[in-house]
Amino acid sequence: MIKIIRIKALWCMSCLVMEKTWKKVFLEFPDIEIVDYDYDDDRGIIDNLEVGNVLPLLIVYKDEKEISRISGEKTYKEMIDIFRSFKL
Amino acid sequence: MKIKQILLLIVSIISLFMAIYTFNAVNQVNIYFFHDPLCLHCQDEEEFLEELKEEYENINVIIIDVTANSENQILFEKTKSTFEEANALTPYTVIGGVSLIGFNLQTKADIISLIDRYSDNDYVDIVEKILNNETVLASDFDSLDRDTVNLPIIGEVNIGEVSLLAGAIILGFIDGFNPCAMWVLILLISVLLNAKNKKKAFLLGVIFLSASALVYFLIMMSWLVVATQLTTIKIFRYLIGALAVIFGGYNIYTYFKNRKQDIGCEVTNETKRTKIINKIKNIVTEKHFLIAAIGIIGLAFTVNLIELACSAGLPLLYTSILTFNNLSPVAYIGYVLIYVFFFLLDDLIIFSLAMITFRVTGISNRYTKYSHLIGGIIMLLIGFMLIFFPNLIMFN
Repeated sequence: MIKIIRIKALWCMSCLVMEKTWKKVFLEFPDIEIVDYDYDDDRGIIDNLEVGNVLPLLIVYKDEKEISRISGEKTYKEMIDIFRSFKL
Repeated sequence: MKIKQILLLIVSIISLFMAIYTFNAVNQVNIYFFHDPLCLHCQDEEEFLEELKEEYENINVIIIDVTANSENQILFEKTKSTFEEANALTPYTVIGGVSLIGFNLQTKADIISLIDRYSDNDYVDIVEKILNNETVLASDFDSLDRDTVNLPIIGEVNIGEVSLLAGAIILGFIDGFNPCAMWVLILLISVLLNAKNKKKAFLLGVIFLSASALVYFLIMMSWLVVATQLTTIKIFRYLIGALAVIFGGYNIYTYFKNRKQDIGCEVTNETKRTKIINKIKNIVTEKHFLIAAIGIIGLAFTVNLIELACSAGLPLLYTSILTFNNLSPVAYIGYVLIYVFFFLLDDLIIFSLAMITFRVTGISNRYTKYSHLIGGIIMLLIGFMLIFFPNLIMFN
């Protein structure tokens, strides 16, 4: 079971730019559960995730265990390659 | 009392006329034209100079036939060697401290520009010095500094004007991609698009952009006023040049430092951002439009002033270049307006697209990171020019 916590911000252009790519990528992996948080609005929840300083950030969990972090802008191909490496 | 006023008026009118008269007083310009009766170009030039005589009352054309006698021949040789052009042939023209070899369209333009220059400014007549057996000094020579070029379709343009215009467009445009000025707009659009009243949202956006433009304009104009006072101090140019080199170098350094980092939005200034986000949310939900409008204007002022430290380099450098060129007030305002327009162009495009498509589209930070690099390189170059080759930047 794969779960992704996705952290975006209203003011972040890279987050906007990535929307299209994410949509395309997650169509190929329909079983992945995605939980969205806003960097500013959901401070209490994400405070202990050590978000770092590059947005957007995807934290990938497999069976409740963190297995990877994908930060910043990625191309469709890069995303697909990363997801394939998880051997879903 | 009345007589006093009339006297004052008469004195003022007389001094005004005197001022105009002195302003119009022009120098006599000597044109030494070395020619050979057999050379065709010499005949063309002779005709051209005859025409000029009718146009300019203050020119004195001295025709020297180099084949007529040995005296003329010697003067020709002496003059050529003074200008280090011993191999030059006729037609050969000397005006003040400049020699012109041959005769063509460019020579015509050069002769006219030299007459114009020397009519209004004192100059050294080198041939006269040679005739009087005086020593010609290195400082006596003048250069053409052709400050106009002929472009197809557009015609004759001033290099200075074109360069300053191109500077406003290029620097303004690159400055616009500066990510530190862009995030508030994206945030604003994101919030505005969720607003129920689309018309109000659109108006608020337009007000925000206009106010931002105004702030930028005011900042640049204030610096302009300060800088025009400082340009008289010689060290000011070196200071600005040094600052440009330091900032440019720093921008290039940050680009290379962050090159390997993931491309994305850098999270900075937590408290400042949270405040601005809350402010925008309050403004958009405000029921009274006027209060919302005032709020958004206030926001534009605060944001642009806060981000000034991050984006001040290029606009301040550009305004400094303007002051080094000693322009008219209208020209100053015009160039600054063009800069501000191109600075806002990408914001305008993003905003318009968002309002038309109801979707926020950003510019990938893959591209915005180059704004640091390109801006840095330009700053570095301008800095070096200001210090070592100021003539490349000072057109007037």
